Amino acid sequence: MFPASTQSKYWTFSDESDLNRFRQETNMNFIMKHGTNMTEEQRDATFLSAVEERLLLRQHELQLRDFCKHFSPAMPRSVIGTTFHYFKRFYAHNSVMDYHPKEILVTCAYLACKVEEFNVSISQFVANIKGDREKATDIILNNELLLMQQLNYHLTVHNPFRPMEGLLIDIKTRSSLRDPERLRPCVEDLLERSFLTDACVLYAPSQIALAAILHSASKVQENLDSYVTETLFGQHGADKLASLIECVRKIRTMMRNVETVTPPRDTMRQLEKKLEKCRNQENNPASQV
Amino acid sequence: MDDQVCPRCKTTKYRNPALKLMVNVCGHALCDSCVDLLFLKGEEYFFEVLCKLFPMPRTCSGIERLADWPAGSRHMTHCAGRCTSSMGALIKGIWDVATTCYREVKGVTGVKGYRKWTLWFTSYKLCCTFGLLVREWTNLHKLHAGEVEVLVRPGRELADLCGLRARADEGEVRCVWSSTIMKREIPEKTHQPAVPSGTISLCKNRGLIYLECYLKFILFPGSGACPECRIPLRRNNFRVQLFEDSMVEKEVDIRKRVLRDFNKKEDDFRTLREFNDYLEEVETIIFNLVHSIDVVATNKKIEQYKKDNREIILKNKTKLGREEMELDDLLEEEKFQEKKRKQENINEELEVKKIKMRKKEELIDELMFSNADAKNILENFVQQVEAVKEEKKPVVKVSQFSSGIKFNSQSQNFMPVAKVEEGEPFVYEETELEVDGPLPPSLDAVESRGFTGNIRAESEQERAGGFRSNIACLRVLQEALMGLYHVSHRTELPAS
Repeated sequence: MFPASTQSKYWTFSDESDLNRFRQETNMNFIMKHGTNMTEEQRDATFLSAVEERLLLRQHELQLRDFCKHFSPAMPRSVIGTTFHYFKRFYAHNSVMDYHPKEILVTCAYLACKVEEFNVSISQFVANIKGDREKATDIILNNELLLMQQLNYHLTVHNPFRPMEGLLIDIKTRSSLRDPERLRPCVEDLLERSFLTDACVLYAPSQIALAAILHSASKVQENLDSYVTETLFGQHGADKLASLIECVRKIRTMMRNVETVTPPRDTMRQLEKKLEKCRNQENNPASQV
Repeated sequence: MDDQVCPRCKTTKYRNPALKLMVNVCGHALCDSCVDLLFLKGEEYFFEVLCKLFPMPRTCSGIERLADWPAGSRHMTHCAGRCTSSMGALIKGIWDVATTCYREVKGVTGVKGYRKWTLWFTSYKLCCTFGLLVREWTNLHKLHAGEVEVLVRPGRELADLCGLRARADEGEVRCVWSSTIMKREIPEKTHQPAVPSGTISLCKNRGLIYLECYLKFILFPGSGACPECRIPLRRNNFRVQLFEDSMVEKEVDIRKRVLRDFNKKEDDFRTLREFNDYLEEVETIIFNLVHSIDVVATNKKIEQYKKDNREIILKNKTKLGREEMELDDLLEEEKFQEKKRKQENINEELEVKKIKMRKKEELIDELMFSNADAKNILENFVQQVEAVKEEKKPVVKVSQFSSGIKFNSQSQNFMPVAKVEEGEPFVYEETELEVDGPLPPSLDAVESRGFTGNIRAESEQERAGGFRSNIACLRVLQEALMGLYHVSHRTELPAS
């Protein structure tokens, strides 16, 4: 269960600044390591900044979402959730310039398939990838161990999908809301979007699920506040209510603000080029190093 | 050791230098012939026949009484010098019976030493029985064909039996038992019941009757009871007595048997005290068995111990084997050293001899061809020899093999098995469910409060597998509620 999990202990960051601190650090570390003899300007010109890394990652997350959506056979939701978790966890401690996201992305998906017991063979898996499949197989299998190591072998991920089901059952049983099932499409969509935010590495899955349900309820002009305050939390949880309301609010903002549109193509192409130049050639399978 | 005596046939080492005393688990000694006799199947039947044939003046039946018969029939001892074994005693017994009961027996003559003798029987039955005995006896003593010859003078009875009246009237019928015939007639080691049977055949051209009559004796390795304590014995458990006191022999045997199972070492115990207690127990068991105290209970104890400690016993057995192997290696190396040293000594002597010879030759040459004074030369020579003696230093011996193998190197290769300290026994503690949110309902409440009404009911197959919808329902509810209070207290990942 989540409270006793490694997810809660190691991978739920306290807030966005905590997460961004890590991203800054990894970015800085890479630059310090590979740009020791450069001036400040040179560094700026050569390496990606933390913000630029975020942009690249965002774009790859979108790619990842599409990859999972169009995966055949159809991927269960939990596999998609776990894949995103892995991807975010990996780049919390590793720079984009060290490991190219397009490689890590498929590896995350492959590992998530295994962990979530969605049985696909590697040949079946790479059939979903365009381009050189043999090369892709090599990359995935080579990176798999690295990925697990970077995840510190914390492979179990708690996704918000089961909490969502639980909450829906609870609402059906204990609240007066009319036909809670009509919330479902909206909730599922919101949860999917939530993976494009950092919510999953900041909050508990049940919190995310609750936020998604509350958000979709407000969209159909329903109010579940009394259910939350009285039925769900009651007297025992009254003192915790404030922090929950705060975190639900934050999650809702995050979900609302998701940019599902890809950034302008020109900027992205520029960034890709820059990355190709500054990436750690030791980890580039195509390089001569 | 000359006064060793078989308690059964009373034969002594003095009378039969080849006497070998054997002992079995019970510790009672027997000579090897008696041991053979012990395992003669059909023995009892044989003596039954014997007793029927000879209405005995004394009430004797079976071998016990037979063995008690006066052992020193001087006639027989004189005639058949090897009649000191138990078989010999039997023959003696028969002989005694024959001489006392059947006066018709004409006499005994020794023919050319002790191995050949002639008996005249007036009774066919007597003849046959005696023939049997001789046959068994020759078999036991591995006498060669023709070495035993029995002459039979048939009386009326025999003639009637054989239908040989005409020839019987003529005089003697000579019966020859030879091992070649026996070999042909008695199939080896057949496990048929002992049945006396006889065939008589006439060898016309020689005018002799070969009387073949035998009782099948099958030596079988199964069981025989100790004549003294009636304990069933196994033939292959018999071994040559090493100690004069058969009690010691018995103890050694029992000790060997007990220690095969009670093979724990000091290392197997935590304290010296426990080890000593264990040794004490083993000694008690051995003492009990040796002195036949409480044998049944003791044996039960051993069985119990075997059952309880099967693993340790097996482990120590293999360990023992290893130790023995090491010892063997040590001995071998010692032998090798010894050999080497001897070789060195021989080489040294040879060298010295060679030098001496050369010096002598030199001296002679000098004396022969030199112009110097012979006395001077001699003096010089003596001085030289002295100098050489002084010069000679003890040769430094190489104490290591060229291969670099050292003593005890074997033992270092074996890592001592680390003794596992047994920790505290496992105590079950119920795991506490960390909720970090509103408390989820109990498994029963899931049903009673109607949660399951909003979830798909389990299918028949699922129910057969033990899955109920309330379990799944409880799980999603738990997951929904757990972590709702969550506030991140992230722990830094351990540095990789």
